Amino acid sequence: MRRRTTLLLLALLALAPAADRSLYGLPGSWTDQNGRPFELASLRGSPVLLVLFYGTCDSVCPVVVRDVQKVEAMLQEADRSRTRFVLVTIDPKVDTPERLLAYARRHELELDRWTLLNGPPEQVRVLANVLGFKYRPTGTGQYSHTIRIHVLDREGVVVDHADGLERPLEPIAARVSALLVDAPPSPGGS
Amino acid sequence: MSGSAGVRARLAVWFGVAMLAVGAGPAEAPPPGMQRVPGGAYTPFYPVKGEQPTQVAPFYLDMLPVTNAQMLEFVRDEPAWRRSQVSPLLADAAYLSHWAGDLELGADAPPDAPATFVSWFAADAWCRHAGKRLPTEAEWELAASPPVEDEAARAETERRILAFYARPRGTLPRVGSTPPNAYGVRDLHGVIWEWVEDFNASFAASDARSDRDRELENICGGGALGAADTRRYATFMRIAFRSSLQASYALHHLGFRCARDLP
Repeated sequence: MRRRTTLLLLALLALAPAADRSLYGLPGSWTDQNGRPFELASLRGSPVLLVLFYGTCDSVCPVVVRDVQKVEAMLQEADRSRTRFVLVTIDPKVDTPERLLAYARRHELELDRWTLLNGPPEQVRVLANVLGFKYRPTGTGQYSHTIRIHVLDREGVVVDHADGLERPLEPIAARVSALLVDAPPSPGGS
Repeated sequence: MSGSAGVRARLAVWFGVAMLAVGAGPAEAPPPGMQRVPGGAYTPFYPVKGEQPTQVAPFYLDMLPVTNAQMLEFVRDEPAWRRSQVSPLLADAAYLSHWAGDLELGADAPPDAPATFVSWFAADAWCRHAGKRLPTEAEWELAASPPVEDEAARAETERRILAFYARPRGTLPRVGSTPPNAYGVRDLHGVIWEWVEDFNASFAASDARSDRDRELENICGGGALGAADTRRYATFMRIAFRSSLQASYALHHLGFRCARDLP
């Protein structure tokens, strides 16, 4: 009986529409590096590389951001222009929109493709928990945290992630390109 | 003799006036159903290099875990948290699976038993709906381990908690079935496990170039070796359990209670 129930539950899970697993259904809204309100759902239609980070992180985060930039550079131009790169701060009290903008400039992030987001701490925690991203403050403004690049499909469903700093980047770029195979061309026409 | 008694009485009055003047009178009464828990220093179980103890401010904590009846009120108000409607991102298939229906508790979920089969997301949402929040791990651990007078008392408490962890658990009793601890809070031990706000933070990777060694060191073979204080074995059990959870998990013996900042 229990086995049958389990099978039934698994079948129901398999039937659940992918949209149910989209991050774009999560409540809450964000603020971007320009201080403007930002809805995650506005990313719909593009594959997304998403990283949780904080601006004053001086060892790991800059390396991960640089790695995402390397992936960005690996993509064909047509794919690159249709992909979005999103950094969400886990330290929203410190990483104000102004500081996020300064961070973007310091790291030469192309702001037509990159978005840096600030949100209420409890909303950041919910997003992190959806993503399985762990973090805690360790004093002196630093955090202990997961090192992870998330790949979202065009509907906002997490379809892949890459952990640590020693993983190859090519598979991430290939994953993004695969998500664009049957996508319409970007509005820019590239 | 009587003169010196008079002096003492006057001193006592002045002392009382002085104490009131510096605000040392009785603290503001906690909200209904909550107790004030003093703050203190909490040492993370697995500190990273150079990590200092967290200073926890005094806070209010629910005296009891949230019950099935309270959970039912919540899902009546918030249809998105009903069993049939909840997002699979926010609760797994076991969510409220012991209830008879979306809005019906049934025989397996007595109204006054702790609400279990509840994901972290649902617990977090419940507390926010009530104008509260989940306690942090540091807050929960401080509330659950009031200072004891001596090592023997501490060891005895530890032994009882570990015995509880070792017992297979059947039907859950109503909330409040265990005696209040020194802070007037019940059921922190001996009934259920409880969600905390940062349940998975203890094993968050260190902010270092490679976290692999650290993870191995933490988890390998019983793993309390990297711990700050290996006498806190029951704490280790709780942290290991919490760290094994995903926020969408809904489990038979996992419930929650809420906290609130002091005004």
